[in-house]
Amino acid sequence: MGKKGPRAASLLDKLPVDPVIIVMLTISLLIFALFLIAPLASLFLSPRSILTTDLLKSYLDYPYISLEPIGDEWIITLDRDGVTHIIFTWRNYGIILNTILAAILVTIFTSIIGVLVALAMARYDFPGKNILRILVIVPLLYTPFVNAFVIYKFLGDGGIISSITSHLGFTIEFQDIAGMILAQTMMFWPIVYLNVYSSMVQIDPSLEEQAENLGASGLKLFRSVTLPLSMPGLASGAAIVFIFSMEDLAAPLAFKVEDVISIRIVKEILSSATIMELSPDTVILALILVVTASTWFIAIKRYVSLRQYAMVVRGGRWTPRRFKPSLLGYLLIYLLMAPWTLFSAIPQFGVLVYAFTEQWIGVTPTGLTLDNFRYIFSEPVTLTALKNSLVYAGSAVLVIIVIAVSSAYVASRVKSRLAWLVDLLSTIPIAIPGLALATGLIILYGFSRASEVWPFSLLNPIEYSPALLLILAYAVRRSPFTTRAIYAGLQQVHEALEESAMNLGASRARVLATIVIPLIGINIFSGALISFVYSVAEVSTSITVGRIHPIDEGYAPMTAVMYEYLTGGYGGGNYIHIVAAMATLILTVQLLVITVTNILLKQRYAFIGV
Amino acid sequence: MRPSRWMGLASLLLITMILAGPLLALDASAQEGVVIRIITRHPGEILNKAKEEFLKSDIAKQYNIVDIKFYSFDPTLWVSAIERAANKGNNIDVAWGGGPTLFDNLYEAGLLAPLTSQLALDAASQIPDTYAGAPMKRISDGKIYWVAASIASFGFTVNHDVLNKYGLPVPKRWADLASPVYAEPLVKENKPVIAIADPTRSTSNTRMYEIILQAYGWENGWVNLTLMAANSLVEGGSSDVRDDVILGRVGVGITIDFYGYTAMKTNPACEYILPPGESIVNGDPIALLTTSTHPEAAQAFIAWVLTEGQKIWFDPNINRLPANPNAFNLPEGKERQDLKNIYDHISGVQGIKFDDALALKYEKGMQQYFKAVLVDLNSLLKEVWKKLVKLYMEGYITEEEFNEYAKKLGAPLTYTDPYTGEKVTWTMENAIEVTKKLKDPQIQSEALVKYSNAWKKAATEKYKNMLDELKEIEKTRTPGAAKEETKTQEKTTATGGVTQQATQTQEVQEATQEATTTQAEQEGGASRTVIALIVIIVIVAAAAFILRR
Repeated sequence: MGKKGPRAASLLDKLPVDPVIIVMLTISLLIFALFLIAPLASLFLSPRSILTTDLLKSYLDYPYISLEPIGDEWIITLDRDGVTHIIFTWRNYGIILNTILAAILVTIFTSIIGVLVALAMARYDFPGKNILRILVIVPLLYTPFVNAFVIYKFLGDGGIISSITSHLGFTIEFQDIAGMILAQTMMFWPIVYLNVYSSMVQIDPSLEEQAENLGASGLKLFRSVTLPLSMPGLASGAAIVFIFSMEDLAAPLAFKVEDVISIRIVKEILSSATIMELSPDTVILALILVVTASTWFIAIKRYVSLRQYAMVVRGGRWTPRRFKPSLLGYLLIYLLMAPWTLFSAIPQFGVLVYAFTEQWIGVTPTGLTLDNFRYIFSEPVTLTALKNSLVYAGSAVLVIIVIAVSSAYVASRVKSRLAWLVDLLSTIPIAIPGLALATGLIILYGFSRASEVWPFSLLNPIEYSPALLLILAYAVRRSPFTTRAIYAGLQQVHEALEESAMNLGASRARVLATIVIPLIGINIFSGALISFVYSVAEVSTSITVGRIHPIDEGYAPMTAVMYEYLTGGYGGGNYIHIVAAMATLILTVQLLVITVTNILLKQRYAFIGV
Repeated sequence: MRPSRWMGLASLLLITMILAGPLLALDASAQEGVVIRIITRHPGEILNKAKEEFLKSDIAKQYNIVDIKFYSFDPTLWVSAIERAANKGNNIDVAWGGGPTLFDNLYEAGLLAPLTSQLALDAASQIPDTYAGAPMKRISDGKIYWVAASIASFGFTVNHDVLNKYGLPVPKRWADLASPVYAEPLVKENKPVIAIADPTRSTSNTRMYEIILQAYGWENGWVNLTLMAANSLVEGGSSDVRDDVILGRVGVGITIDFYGYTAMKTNPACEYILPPGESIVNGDPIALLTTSTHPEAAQAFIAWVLTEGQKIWFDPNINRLPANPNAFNLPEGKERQDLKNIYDHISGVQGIKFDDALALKYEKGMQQYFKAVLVDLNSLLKEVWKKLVKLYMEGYITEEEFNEYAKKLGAPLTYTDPYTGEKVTWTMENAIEVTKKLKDPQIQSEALVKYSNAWKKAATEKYKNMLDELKEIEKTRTPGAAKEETKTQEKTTATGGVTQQATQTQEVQEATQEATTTQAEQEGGASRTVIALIVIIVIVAAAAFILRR
C-alpha cells in the first residue's frame, strides 16, 4: 500500500503481524482498489485531454442545465368528448437539473409514505396487517425494467386506470419525468419503510412513555420523540432512494424520458464505445452522478451521526407499544394506506400477466400462453444470456465469498485503521451509482494506458470478452450483502473460542478453517445466495460493460438482453412479454432465495439498506 | 441453532454446484464440414427460417455446408466487426440485409468481393438491374458487388384509433408530417402523434431522411425534416417506431414496409400506407465479403437466397417482396397473390428519383447534424414549434408570418466551423466537406465532438432567440388580431411542405378556435381540484420538512 504515502505508518498501527490477516487485508484492499477506487479515479482524470473551457461552459447551458425551464405547465387539463383529461407533465430544467430535482422529489415522496406506513405498522394493530406486511415487500422484488412498463401501462397515455375512471368523467395521465417520479416512488418507497420500521421497533418504549407522562401525545409525541429517534432509518433509506432514483433506467425507459443523466449515459456508451473513445459527455455526466450521489450520502450520514440517539440501556424484554387505531386511524389505514400498498404491488403482478400472455394492448390481456418461456429456452440469444448470467453471477459469488470473509473478519477482529478502511470500502459500493462505476471501468480497462499492460489487458472488455470485468464488477457491487451477513455471524461467535484454540497452538489459518468458517457457514451461504440473486439482477454494469459487444456475440448477461429487447427491436411485436418472462425467472429465483435464507437464518432479511 | 462443520462444507458444495451446472451445460460443439458465417441486420424469424430451409436444400449438401452462423451488429459497427472477426479467425463470409446504404459503406471500405462463381452469377442474372427506378445491384467495372435479395419500400404505418381519437387526417405525403395539423395534440397536451428514429441508430430512417432531402431539395428538405422532428417522438431505433404505433403511443410512424405489415398483423387498427407518387424502393442486398474463407460455399448460399430461398419472404410472419420476380412462380409464391399485386403496383409507380451516390457523400454528416440539432435538442425545438403553432392557432400571427417563422426554424444552420473559426452555412457542399472529416480515421472522433458542439451551440442560440421573439409577440399582440388579416390575404406560394401545411391548417385553426372557447368554461372544476391537490402536497411536504428539524 505504498501509495498511501506518509499516512501508511499510522494506518499500520496496531496491525497484528499475522500472515493470514495480512493476506486477507491485501486481497480485499486490492480488489476494491482495482475495481472500485481506480475506475472512479479514472473518471476524474480522463476528460482532461478533450476538455476545453468552452466545452465546460456549454454544460451550464441547455440541454444540461436550463434555469429557465422549457414548457409552461406542470399539469394540463383539457376536455375531449366530454371527459376531463388531467395530465401531469414536467417542465424541462435540462438533463442535470432534471435528474437531481426528480431524485429529490422521489426522496421526499418515498420518505413521507415510508414513515407514515412504518408508523402504522410499528405502532398499531389492525385486521389485515399481516397481508399488508407481505404486500409492502412486493415492490422490492426485483423485476428489471418490466415493472416500470407495467406502471406506464396503468398510468401512462391511455392507461388502464384512465379507461376505468373515464366512466366517471375524468382520466389521469402521467407524462415524461412526472411519470418517472411516480414510478420511482412506487418502486422505492418500501426501502424507506423497511429502514424506518426497523428503527422504530428498536426505540425503547419507555422513551415514548416518559414523553406521554410529560403530557405529549399524538402529533407532538410523533414529532418530538418517535420521528427523531427513527432518523437513522429514515436517513439511510432516503440516501439509498436518492441514489437509486438517479441511476434508475426502468422508469425513464418506460415513460420515454430522454433528458435525464442515466439514459444519456447508457445511450452514449452503447452508441460510441466500440468505435471510439467515450465521448466527453458520458464522462462528465458520470462524474456528476458520482459527485452528487456521494455528496448526498455523506451529508446524510453526517447529519445522522452528529446527533445522539438515546436508546436507553437495552436488556430485558420490553413489550412493544401497540395500539388500536382510532376511527380516523382506521379510515386512513383502509382508505389510503391499504389501497396505496396494494397499488404499488400491482407492477410485480403485472409482470406475471405479461409473462404468461400473448398480447396486452388496451385493458385486458389476451392469449394465456407459456410460449414466452419456451422462447427464452429455445432462442440462442436469450438462452446464452441466461447461461451467461448464471456463470457470471456464480463466479462473482466465489470472489464475493473471498472478499466478504476477508473484510468481515478483518473488520470484526482487528483493531487498526486499515481494518477501518476495509470496513468502509466494503459498505461503500452501495452508495456508488453503478453507471458511474461502469463508465470508469470502461475508461480504465477499455481505453486507458493501463489497458495495454498485462495482465490488465486481459480485462479489456472491447478486445476480449467482457466476462472477467463483469464478474469483478458484480463482485464489488454485490459484496456488501454477503459481508454484512458474515459480519453479523462473526458478532455472534465469541472471540474467546478462537483465542483458546490459538493458545492451544493452532495457527490462525487452522482456526479459521476449523472453527470460524464452520460456525458462520450458514451466514456465508445465505449471504452468498443474496449476492447471487442481486448479481443476476444487476443492471448498470451489465447493460454497459456487458453489452459493449452486440448481444448476438454471446457475451451479454440476461439484463443486457432484456434492455436490448426493450429498445433494440428483438423479439418482434411481443418483446415486452418475453422480457417479462425473463423477469419472472429472476423473480422466481429471488423468492426461492428469500425462502431458503429465512429458513436457514430464522430471521427476516432486509433486502436493501445500509 | 448451532451450525456445524458439515453445514459449512455443504454450503460450499452447493455453491460449487450452482457454478458447475451452467458451466457444464455450455456446449462445445465441434463439427466437420463447412460453416458459413453471415453478418446480418435481419431479425430472428428470417434467420431461423433461412437456416432451416437452406440446410435442407440440395445446394447445402452439394457444398457440404453443415451450419450457418449469424452475427447481428448495429449498422455503425459492421466494418469494425467484420475486421475484428477476421483478426480472431472467425472470418465472416457473407453480408445480408441492412439496406443499400450499409452495403455501399462496406463497398467503400473495400470489404465486398465481386461474385465469381457461375452459380451465383446465374442467380444474380435473374434479378432485374433496376426496379421502380431503384438499383438492384451494385455493378462496378462489370463486376457485381452486391445484389438485392428482397425489396423494401418506405412509408407510414398509421394507427387509426389514435388518429381518430385526435380527429387527425391520414398523412399522404412526406411533407404532411411537417404540418402543424399534427402539432395540435402536442400544443394542447404535450403529446407527439408521430414517431421517427434517430438516424445514427437506424439505416432505414437515414434513407427516409435522404429521400426527403432529395425530393424536396436540400434547404426545403431540412425545413421539412426539422418540423417533422418537432412534431415527433424521436426514438432510438426503427423498431421502436413500429412498436409505438402498435401500442398506440403515436398515430403515425415512418417505417419500412414489412414493419407496417407486422403492425397490421399485431394490431388491426394499424395500416401501412405507401405515399402515392412519393414511394421509394430499396433493394435489400446480399454480398460476398473479402474476408470469406469459403468463397465457393458462400456464393452457393447467395445463389440459394436469390433463387429457391426467395420462398422465405412469403412466410406469413415475414412478408417481404422478393427481388427475383420468378419467385412468384414457386409454389409458395403462387399463394401470395397479395404480395404479387403490391410488387406489380410498385413497379408501375414512378417513385422519387434518388441519387444513391450523392446521398452517400453527405450521409454521415447528415446523420450527426440531425442528431445534434434535432434529436439532442429536441425538447427545446419542440417548445419553439409549440409556441409558433399556438400563436398561429390562436390568431396572434398571420399565415404568412407563420410560414416565414417555420421556414426560419427549419432552415439549415449557420454555425462557426470549429476548424477554421469561420461562419459557415449547412449547405449540401458543407455537409459533404464535414462528412469527409467525419470519415477520416485520423480525426473522426475529435471532429465529431467538435462539430456536434458547434452545431448544438448555434442551434440552441437560434431556438432560444426564436422562442424569445415569439414570447414577445404573445405579450404585445392580442389573440385573433391576425386572423382577420389571414382570411383576406391571398395565399402566398411558398415552396414544398410549408404551403401544404398552411392550406391544411386553415380548417384546423378554425376548429380549435371553437374548441378552446368551449373548453375554457368547462375547465374550471377540474383545475380547482388540481390546485387543491397541489396545495395538499405542498402542505404535507412542508410539514415533513418542519418535523425533520
